[in-house]
Amino acid sequence: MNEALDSKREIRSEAGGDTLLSVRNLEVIYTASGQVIRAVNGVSFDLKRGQTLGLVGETGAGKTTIAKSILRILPDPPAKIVGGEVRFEGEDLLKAPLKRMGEIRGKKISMVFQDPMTALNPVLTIGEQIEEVYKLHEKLNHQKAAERIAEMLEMVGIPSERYNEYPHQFSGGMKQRIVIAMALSCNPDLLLADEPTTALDVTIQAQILDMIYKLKQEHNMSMIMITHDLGVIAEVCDEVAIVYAGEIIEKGSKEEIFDYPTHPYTVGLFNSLPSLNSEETRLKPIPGMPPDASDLPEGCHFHPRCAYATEECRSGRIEMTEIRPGHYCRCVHAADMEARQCRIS
Amino acid sequence: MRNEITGLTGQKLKKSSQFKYIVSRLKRNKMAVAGLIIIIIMTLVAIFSPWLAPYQYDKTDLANMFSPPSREHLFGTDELGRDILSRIMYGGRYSLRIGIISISCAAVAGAAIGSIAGYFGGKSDLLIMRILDVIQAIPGLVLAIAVSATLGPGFTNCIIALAIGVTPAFARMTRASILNIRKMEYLEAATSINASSFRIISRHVLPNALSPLIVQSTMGIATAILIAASLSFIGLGVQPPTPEWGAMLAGGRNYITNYPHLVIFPGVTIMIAVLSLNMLGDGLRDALDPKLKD
Amino acid sequence: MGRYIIKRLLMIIPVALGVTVLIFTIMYFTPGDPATIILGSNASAEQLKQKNAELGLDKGYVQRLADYMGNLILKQDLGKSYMNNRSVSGDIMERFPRTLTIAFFSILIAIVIGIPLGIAAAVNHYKWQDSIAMMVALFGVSMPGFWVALMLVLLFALKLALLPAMGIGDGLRSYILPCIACSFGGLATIARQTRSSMLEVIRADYIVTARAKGQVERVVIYKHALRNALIPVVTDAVTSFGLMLGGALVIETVFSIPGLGVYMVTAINSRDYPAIQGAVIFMSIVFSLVMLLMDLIYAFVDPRIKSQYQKSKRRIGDAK
Repeated sequence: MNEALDSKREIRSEAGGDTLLSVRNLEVIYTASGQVIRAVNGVSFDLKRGQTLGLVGETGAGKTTIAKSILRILPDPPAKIVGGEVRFEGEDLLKAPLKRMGEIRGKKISMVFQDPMTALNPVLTIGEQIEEVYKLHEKLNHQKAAERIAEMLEMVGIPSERYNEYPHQFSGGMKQRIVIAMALSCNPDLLLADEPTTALDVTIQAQILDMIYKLKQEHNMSMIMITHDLGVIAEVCDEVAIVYAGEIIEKGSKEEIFDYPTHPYTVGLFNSLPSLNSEETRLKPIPGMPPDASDLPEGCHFHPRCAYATEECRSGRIEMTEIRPGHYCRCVHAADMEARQCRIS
Repeated sequence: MRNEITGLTGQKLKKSSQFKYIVSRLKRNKMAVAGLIIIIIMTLVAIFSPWLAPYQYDKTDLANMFSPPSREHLFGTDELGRDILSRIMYGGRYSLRIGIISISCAAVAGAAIGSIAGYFGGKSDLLIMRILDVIQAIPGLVLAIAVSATLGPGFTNCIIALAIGVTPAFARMTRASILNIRKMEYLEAATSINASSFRIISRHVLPNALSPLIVQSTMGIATAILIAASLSFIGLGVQPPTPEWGAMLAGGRNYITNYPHLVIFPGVTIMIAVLSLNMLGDGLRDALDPKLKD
Repeated sequence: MGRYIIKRLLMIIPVALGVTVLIFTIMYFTPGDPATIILGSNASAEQLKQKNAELGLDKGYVQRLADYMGNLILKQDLGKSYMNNRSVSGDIMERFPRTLTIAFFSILIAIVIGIPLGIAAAVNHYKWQDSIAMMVALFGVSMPGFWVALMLVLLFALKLALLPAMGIGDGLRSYILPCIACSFGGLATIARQTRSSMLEVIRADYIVTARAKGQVERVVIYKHALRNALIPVVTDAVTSFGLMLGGALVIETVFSIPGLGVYMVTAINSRDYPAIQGAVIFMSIVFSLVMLLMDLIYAFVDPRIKSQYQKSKRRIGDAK
């Protein structure tokens, strides 16, 4: 297991280097019946070529919104990107004309969605749906496209003769394979995987995850893996960013975050996992509920649920600080927390 | 799934607050409010027409036949010199009543039949559905024509003909929503906490089956007014000289070339009544549709 | 597929028989003595009795129903008109094509204009185009068809003298106004349904998938969204066609087009019960066939339904 992890690290350092995607101060709001919901509040992160970034957080934290903003496929209205930059290979996608976005979507950046049951168009055959990608981006004719589609389908483990079947003729796991085949058909540089295994049976989750990881390595893609499952992060990611109430509250390499979780929310996430080694028989959930995005708490958005909250936490904007090389945390008590962590370990 | 969850939380709200919520949603819809106001005004005008109308609806004035709209007769007079405005005001008593009574009868009968079919299932369901199949195989207007041909023209017969034609649609809808609700997870949830079947039906099944019924009734009144007008127009519904709006059109059509105001005003009145009912129905549907909850 | 069509066709038979029994029974209880209607009130009791025997009206309900059904099934004969002793089925076949012409062109107009109107409204949701289109549609569903017909006659035939006001003397030109009048309600219904189902479909996940592929917006709307959105519109189009068949009956009377509507009204006014009965039964069978057509269209546009009727060649399961 360690060897495998080491070899992954090698690949990473080989491929690492230039920045593929750089998101700066991204802000997205939703407007619903007069209410403004701040879904993403100043999110920034970088992603190097060939690396995988894990976005972790509870449902409604804004992870999917971040991913969809990169491709600009949020439904407008109600969603609106109100600020920030999304630089992909140096180009600001938020300012790119729609025609340019059409060239990037599916070709350079593609996305795998959470629910394979609804992600495929029920009235078109899966072949037709994959063929679109080839026709759009590689200008292939029907014959050529059909060959490539057969190849892609076999690659994700779908018999290629099922090309002419409709989505309802496949199971959930197979549909997700098809969605993945569609996403990878033009060898994109970046894959956005939005909880690709959440809607699937546990037994199939592992298969799909392994497949995504394998294909990602083969094609030397970068990936943003959105999940609320720390197990998934441990398996496939290089970098991790913890998202809470539309903000990244902690980020760093996977090893840093797993070995030295610092933000009280991150610590809470790890504590809420069952552990085989410990004697504990009860899980320790994080108290309270995720905040209402239309009425975020002042100061640190996590303070009402935080056991360490003090007066400082209740007002002003909490800035990201680098607490260890490459490890950032958005907490006024980061230094204390880190010391506490050290004592525990 | 999401809708079912909304339904579940919706059930947990107190009845009154849910009702208030629907009313507040309806109030925000300007079209629906406008429709409601217009239809209330029309109803009041019809009820109080003997006091409000400028003339008696059946008072003939042979010296003033076919007079065009003027200060004395805002909508003009008809072939017997009767004031068209007064006739329209009084006629609302017939047209609106036909719509409301026939749909109420159909809704009650349909809901009863549909509930029996949906709740008991099995053979009674099969038999009821086959009978409904047969009735619905006859196009609505054709059935209304056949029934009124048998019963003869007249106000009551017109209501019966319309009610028979619309009942199957209500029955089918009630049955469908009852079958649908019976599958829902919140019913399983209610059963699992040992709620009695009376409680389940009264608290969960009926309120949920009711909202499509209300919407359908509102729209149904609109359709019924239209069909009643058609029936009267071809001489099968309410007969002249009763000032039902369709009958007024039937009476006026022969003079359309020279005196179009005889057909324009009653027609516009029908349109406004039906339009406001449709606007109200649209608004109700949106307000009651959990899918549209923000 | 073929087996499914045959099965559905066979299912029409019990419904048609049910309709026949129902209509026959309704007409049986109609007050009034046919012999008196035919011979007039001056006829002697003897003459009336003889006429009733001639018409087979002296027999009981069951016997008469059996005779009627027997003639209908074996000879496609709907009996003879009391008025002119002509064959009802012959008269209906002569007149029905005119009614069908009106209904057919009306549904065509309704589809060709209603669907694009609904799409335009949905695509411009929250904009003025949407509000205008939906106001127009709302007016469309709220006007009595025959009144629209009267207004069209007033404007185009009487004031502008562009089109004939009545009769079928001018060939297809005579059908223009009736078809426009008859299409109004259906057009508005189709536009409203297209809009609401487009708005629902546009929010679907597979639309996001299509956009994420880089598909241009026009193709997303017309290929991905529209094909799904049209599935519920089929119901409305077919229901509208049924309503138009009925509406055409009334509109015919406005334009004095000698179709089934005028035939029925004449028959009702002269209490010609075999004619009324025959026309109603005939319309119901046509209506059932239209409903069958709807099911077939469904199977054509929705692969999920189509595959229910095809033998599944493959077991649905996950590749392990």
